[in-house]
Amino acid sequence: MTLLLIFSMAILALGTFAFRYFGSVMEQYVPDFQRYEELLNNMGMVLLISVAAVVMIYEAGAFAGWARCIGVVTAGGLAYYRVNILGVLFVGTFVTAGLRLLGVP
Amino acid sequence: MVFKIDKVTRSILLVCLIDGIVGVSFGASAVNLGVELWIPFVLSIVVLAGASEFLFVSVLAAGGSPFTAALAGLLVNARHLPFGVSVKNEVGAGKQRLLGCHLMNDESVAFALAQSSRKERRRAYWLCGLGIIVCWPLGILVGGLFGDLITHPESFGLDALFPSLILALVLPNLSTINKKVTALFGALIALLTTPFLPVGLPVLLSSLALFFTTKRVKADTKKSERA
Repeated sequence: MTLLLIFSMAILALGTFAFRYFGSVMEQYVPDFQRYEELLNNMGMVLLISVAAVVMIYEAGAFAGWARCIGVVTAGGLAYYRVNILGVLFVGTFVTAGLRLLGVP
Repeated sequence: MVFKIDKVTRSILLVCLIDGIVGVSFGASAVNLGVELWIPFVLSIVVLAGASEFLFVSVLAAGGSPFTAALAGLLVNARHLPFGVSVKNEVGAGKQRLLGCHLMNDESVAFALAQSSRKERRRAYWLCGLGIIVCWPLGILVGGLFGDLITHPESFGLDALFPSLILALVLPNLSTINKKVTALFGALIALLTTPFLPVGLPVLLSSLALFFTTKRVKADTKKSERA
């Protein structure tokens, strides 16, 4: 059992590293790479936004509650208007914690 | 004595601290779920991608096979392939690239992309990556050992920090209408498919948004070339 566990942890670690590494050296192996570069660069951005959106709304596959959603959307609004990072983080946390204090789930 | 620290460095240090706190709560909950502490601790160093580690530990805690847990984790981590393309100039060359690639995660990539010059991008990437590889495992260790002392981190709104941070770093960079539409469309795809698909897949699917808007991306580029 422990052996299978260690083997599985190794697979996760090595596989994750392989994704990271091959992404960074892809241009050497894909002919005419520059044609796709802009697309792949934008893909990084879209994936990050999607990660943020999913983490904002779901917790273990179910709705995470309004407090976090409203807090993060408020933070996102400030970020869009280029308020600095510390301000954005402070407001996101403050609104979420405040709503929970008021009994919003 | 007053240390002069620039804005980017300050934000990075704060984010590392936050990741440490998230680590504390992860370590504490892993131990509470009956998972031995060495498992999340070792994962935090050799995998260094939080979401997949949560998933691995929760599959184990639910009595699932570790092998299934690893495959699910890999699906979640597949986004590091396009991340690698985005930061290929920041990870370094030769042997340095090995460490540089390992330091790749949501935060370090987002910080790098948010900087304008190549030098700043590189500095932000490495500072954030190195900070997280120290704070994240340390937090997990502390949480696992002293987890009993910590009550619900949600009541402080700390769970809002990670998504807020990513938005703070990425949203100001959505410079064209086209990028905004693509990001919004991608997020919608991920959100609408999450209830029906295994964890990790919805985020990957969000990249389909790019194929619907690529034509317009080209038009945009031409326009900016002319300008």
